[in-house]
Amino acid sequence: MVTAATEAASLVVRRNNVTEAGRADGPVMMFAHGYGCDQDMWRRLLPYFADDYRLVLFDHVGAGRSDVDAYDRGKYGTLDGYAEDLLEICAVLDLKDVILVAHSVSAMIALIAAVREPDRFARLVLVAPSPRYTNDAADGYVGGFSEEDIEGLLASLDSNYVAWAEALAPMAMGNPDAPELAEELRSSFCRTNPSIARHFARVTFLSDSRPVLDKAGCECLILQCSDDLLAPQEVGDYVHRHLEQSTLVQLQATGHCPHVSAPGDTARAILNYLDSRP
Amino acid sequence: MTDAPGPPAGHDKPPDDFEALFHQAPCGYLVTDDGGSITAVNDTFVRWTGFARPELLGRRLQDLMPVGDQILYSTHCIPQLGINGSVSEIAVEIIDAGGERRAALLSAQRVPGSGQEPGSVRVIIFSAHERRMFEKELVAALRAAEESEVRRGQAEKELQRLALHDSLTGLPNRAGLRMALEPLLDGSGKVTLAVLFLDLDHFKAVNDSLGHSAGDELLMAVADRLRAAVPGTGTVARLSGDEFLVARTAVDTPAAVALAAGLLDVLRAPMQIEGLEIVTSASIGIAVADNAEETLEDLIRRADIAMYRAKERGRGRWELHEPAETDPTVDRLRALGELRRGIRDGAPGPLPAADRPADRHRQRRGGPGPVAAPHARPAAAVGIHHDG
Repeated sequence: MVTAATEAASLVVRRNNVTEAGRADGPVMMFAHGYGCDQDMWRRLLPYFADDYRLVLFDHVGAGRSDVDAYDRGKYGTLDGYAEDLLEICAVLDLKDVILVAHSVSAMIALIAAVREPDRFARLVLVAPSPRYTNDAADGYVGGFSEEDIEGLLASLDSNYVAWAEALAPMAMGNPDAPELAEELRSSFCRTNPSIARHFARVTFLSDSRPVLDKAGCECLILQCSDDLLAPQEVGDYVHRHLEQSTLVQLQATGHCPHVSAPGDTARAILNYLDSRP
Repeated sequence: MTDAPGPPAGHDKPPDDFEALFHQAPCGYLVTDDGGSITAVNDTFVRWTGFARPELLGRRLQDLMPVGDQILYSTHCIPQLGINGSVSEIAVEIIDAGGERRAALLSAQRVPGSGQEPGSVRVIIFSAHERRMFEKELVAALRAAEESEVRRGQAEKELQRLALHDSLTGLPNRAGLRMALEPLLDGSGKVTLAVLFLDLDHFKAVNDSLGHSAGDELLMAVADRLRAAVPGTGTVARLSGDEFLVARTAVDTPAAVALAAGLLDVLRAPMQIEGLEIVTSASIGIAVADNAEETLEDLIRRADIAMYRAKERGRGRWELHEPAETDPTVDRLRALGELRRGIRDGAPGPLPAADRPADRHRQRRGGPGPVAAPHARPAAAVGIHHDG
């Protein structure tokens, strides 16, 4: 954990459960998790970078072990609120030339942040990005989902409401001094407050971040998975076309989370990209 | 065993006990690879979904779910299986061979690969139709509770608004005025506050001759004009009947006087009430807070006294309560005395009842209102009743 110099810094660190690992004096590599999970989803990828990079991880507010009380429906009603948090973390830790690895919806959060403070970031690594999940009949954009699909997701989240609320209960009542804490925390992975999950789903899956692509001047690596329900091939190509300084790498990994299912391939793709563009 | 689907149901060879347990378990058993592709499935699941076994083998488990569940499975369950090794009691729906959605609960555990062996995922799926119905009701009730909480909050806000505002004109009432101004008078003396006490002239005559609805319309028109004439930093309130109060901060006496003169002008312009052109006027008393100790009630009382003087000196004008007039009670007595004399000496025609001091006192001072002041009693004592 970080020792924060000021109270404001420690508030940000606590709010987003900022943690650090790796080589303290290495270049900064920051990881932003996607919808449905928390920073633990990077666990299998980190060993490939820990020797050379200073690794900074955090949970979006509402996810993982972030400060749920900081969840403000107004602020987090758009992705801008999350981008603001990300920039605040960079500011309080005074991070420079950040290599930002961002998954899923966080790829768009990363781009919003990079447009706001272009000098803060050296490179962006966008894992399975999508600027808009729903199709847009008006201009023929294919995001992969209809609005009814997203309503279905919200219904699905509602179905899981009771299960998730049950899963949260032992954590809320747990005694931090109890020896079973480690086990408790491990099983807390991807736990989420059901109401927040629902709101975040709305914000994530009904947002349209396409305009931000054209504004971003940062160098970006796009990691495109095979057979990804959430970010199909057309979407990756769209992102590549609209991000001026982007490189697209096709991964063999299937699904939406290559850093979980194929951490070795994912890490190699990132390292190759970084090596090729020192 | 798990890698082979086992013999189909109804085979002639007696089944191995464990194989029977796999196939005839009271819930669906499946084995998938890390991407979700089904490599083995038991008879129970085959029967439950109505698919033929070959239709299921090689198919991804999540593809049997509606899109919403697929998103959840891809974003939440697969990474959780990869990192944590298990998920439990995930609520999903499985679309069966007939296209029907079947509510189910899914628990799964990942078996890590070793050597050349890739990892696999063991999944159990059990029907949760009744539980889902029950949960749907619970969640619907929860949503309804959340909505009613929102409605309650709105109702509370509305109640508070009603309590602090006059329903006819929408202006703050006396309580609303206090709420708005009292925080400003913090006793520091740093805030100058000017208060204009405004009373319509001959309002009761309008009410009596044209009816209450015309009177109400007049009050609303006056409220609109005052609202429009007072800059954004000012407060306009309706205290009662035809009494309005205008307050502005950071205003000195000349500015307060200018504001009063401006309001008199604005009110003088003819207005259409129920198709009739009516010309109204008002009398205004002005008081400007000049020391830190002065309370809002003191200030209103001083403005009220000045308003009386404006009435007495001919109406349609303003009067300023000078800070030098240190004793409002004495001032009040003097004002009442003058009024009494005026009435006795034959004012031009009888005063409209609303302007008769005794009636005003009954109207305004009778109750335990916030400005009920000791000098109300001397008013009776000076014997206005006898003269009126």
